[in-house]
Amino acid sequence: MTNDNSKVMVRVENLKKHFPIKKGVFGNKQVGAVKAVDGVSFDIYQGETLGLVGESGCGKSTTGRTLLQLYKPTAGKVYYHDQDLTDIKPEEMRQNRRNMQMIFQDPYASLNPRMTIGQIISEPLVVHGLGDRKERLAQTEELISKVGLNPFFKDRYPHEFSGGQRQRVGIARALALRPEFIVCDEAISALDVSIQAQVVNLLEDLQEEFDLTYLFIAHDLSMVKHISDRVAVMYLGKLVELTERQELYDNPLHPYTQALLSAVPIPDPIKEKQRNRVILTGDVPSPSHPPEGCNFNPRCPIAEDICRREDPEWRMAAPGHWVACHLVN
Amino acid sequence: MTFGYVFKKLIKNPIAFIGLLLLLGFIIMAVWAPVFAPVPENARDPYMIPRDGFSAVPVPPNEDHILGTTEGQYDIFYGIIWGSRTAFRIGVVITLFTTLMGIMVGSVAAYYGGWIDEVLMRITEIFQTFPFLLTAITLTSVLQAVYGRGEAGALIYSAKILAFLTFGHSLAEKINPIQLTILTGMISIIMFGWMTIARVTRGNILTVKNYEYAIAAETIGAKNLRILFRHLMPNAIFPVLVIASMNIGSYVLTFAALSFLGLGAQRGYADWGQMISFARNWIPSLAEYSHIVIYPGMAILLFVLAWNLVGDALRDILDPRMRGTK
Repeated sequence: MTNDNSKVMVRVENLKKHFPIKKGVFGNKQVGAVKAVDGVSFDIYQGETLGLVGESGCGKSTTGRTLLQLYKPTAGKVYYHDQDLTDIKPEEMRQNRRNMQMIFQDPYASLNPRMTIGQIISEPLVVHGLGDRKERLAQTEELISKVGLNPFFKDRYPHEFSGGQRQRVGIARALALRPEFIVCDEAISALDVSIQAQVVNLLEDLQEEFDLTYLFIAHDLSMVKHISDRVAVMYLGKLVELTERQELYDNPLHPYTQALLSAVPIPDPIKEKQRNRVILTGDVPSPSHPPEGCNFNPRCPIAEDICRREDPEWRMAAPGHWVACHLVN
Repeated sequence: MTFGYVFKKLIKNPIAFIGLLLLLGFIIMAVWAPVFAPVPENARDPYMIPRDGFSAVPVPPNEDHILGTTEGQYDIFYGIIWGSRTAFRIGVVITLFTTLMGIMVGSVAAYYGGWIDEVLMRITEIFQTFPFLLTAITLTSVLQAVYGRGEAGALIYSAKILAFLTFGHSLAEKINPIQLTILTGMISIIMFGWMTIARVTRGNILTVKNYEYAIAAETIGAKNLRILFRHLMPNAIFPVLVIASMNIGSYVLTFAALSFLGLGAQRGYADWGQMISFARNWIPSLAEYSHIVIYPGMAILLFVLAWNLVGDALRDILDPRMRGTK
C-alpha cells in the first residue's frame, strides 16, 4: 500500500491541541494547559486504513477531532489534498465536510434521541441541500439496507435499537454524503465482541465498495491488526511509532510499543505460557504536566540520561518505519 | 416520550389529577364567564365589575349577590368568574415572554460560550440581585409615570405588543387606559422574571452540547442555528417547560401582590388581587366581613396550587431522577 506511488490524502504536520486551564474571576487567567495532542505528524494514503492506538486519555480521539477541525488546533497544519484545513473559512470547511466524515464511539450518545433514524441518516443530505425529498428518501432507504438494516425501520427512534444496530445507523449517516475519508473514533469499542466482528466486516466491505480511506482509532490491538494497513502508536499526546502493520507487530522498535504488544494475549496456550510480558510500572503522567525529555521516560525500562533531558526526534528509522526514541538506531 | 404518554401518566398520578381537575374548572370558568356571570346591559367593559350602589360598607352573601359584595358594592362572584380570564391571560403571556427570553439568553450563552457566555451570565446575575417584588413595584409605578408623559417609544411599543397578546387588540389601536396599568405591571414582571429559565436552559444545553450527537451534527456540516434548534434545544427543553408551567401560577400571585398595592389592575377591574385590595380598609373588622378576602383569596390559592401540582407531576414524569426532591 505505502509505496512511493501511493497518493497522500491527508497530511498532518506537527498538530497540537492544548486545552487551556483557566482561573480567575472572569476565567481570564490561564494557569496551564492540558496538552492532549502535542505535536503529531503523519500521512494518510488514499485507500488505506491507518490504525491509531494508545491508552485511554493519550489523545487519540482529540487527534481525530482536531484533524476534522471539530476542535481548533493550537498549532500545526492539516492538509487534505494539498488544501490547508486549518486556514480556510468556516463555510469552506463546511463544504469540505462532504468528503470527510466520522463514526463515533458511543452508539447510545451519537444519535439524537428525538429524531427518527430516517431523519438522522438523511440530515447530511438536507444540510448540504442534496436532492429533493423523494431522492433523499430513496437514498436513505438505500443506505439503511447497505448497512444491513431493514429500510422499514426508518421511522423508528434510536432507543428502539440495540447497540450494534445503532452503530450501523451511525455508519449510514457517515456514508450519506459519499465521503472518501472517514475517521472511525473507537467505532467498535463500545460493542460486544460478537457484534464488533460484524461491524468491522461491514466497515471493510464498505471500504471496498466506496473506496474509503479510514483513520481507525482504537485501543484494541488485535482489532487494529485485523483492519489496518499501517499502525500509529500514541503515548501522552505524541506519536511514538508508525509503520506497516506487519512490521509493527513483528519488529516493534519503541519500548512502549513493545510493552503494549507483549500485553496482547495469544490464543495458543503453549505460546501464551512462553510469552514474555513487559510490565510497565507507574501511571501515565498528567498531560498538563508532561515529564521533562521523552514523555515515556518515567516508565521506560531502558531509559537513559538523554531521555530525561531531551525530546526524542520523530524520524524514519527504516524505510516507512517512523519512531520517536533516542535509543533506536 | 410522546404527548399521549405524558398525558396518560398525568391522569394516573392522583396529585396531578387533582391539579388537572382544578385547572379544568378554571378553564371552564374562563371560557363560559358570560354564562356564569352575565354582563349587565349598560356595561362599558365586561371586565369592570358591576356595582350595586355606592355604599362603602361590604354586604355579606345574599340572594342578589351569592358571594356578597365588597367595598363600593362590587359583586364578588362576578369578579371571581371574570378574574379567571384575567389570571389566565396574565399568567400565560408573562410566562410566554419570560420563558422565551430565558431560553434565548441561556441557549445563546451556552452554545457560543466564551465571552458571550460571560457577558450574558453576568447580566443575568445582576438582574438576579434585585429583590423581585420590590423591583416590580418600583418599576411598575415608574413605567406608569413614564407612559403618562408619552415619551418612551420603546415602552409604548412593548406595551402594544403585550396588549395584542393579552387582550387581542390590534397594534394600531390606542391602549385602553383601563388596561394600561395591567400592561406596565406585566412588563415589570417580565423584565425581572426570566433569569431562572436562562440559567436552567444554559446548564442543560451545556450538558447536551458535549453529547456525541451534537458533535456529529457539526461533522455532517450542519450550521450553528440548526444544531441549536434541531439537536440541542429539543433535548434540553423539558426541565424548562416544567419550570414554566409552575411559573404561570407564581406570576399570577406576583401580579396579585401588585394589584393589592394598587399598582396592577385598576379599581373595579375583574382581577383577584385587586379585589383583595378592597379589604385593606377593613382589616380591623375582617371578622365581620371575612367574605371580601376569603373568596378572591381562595381563587388565587387554588389557581396557583393547580399549576404547582401539574408542574410537580410533570417534573416527576419527565425526569424520574428528580422524584422526591424539591
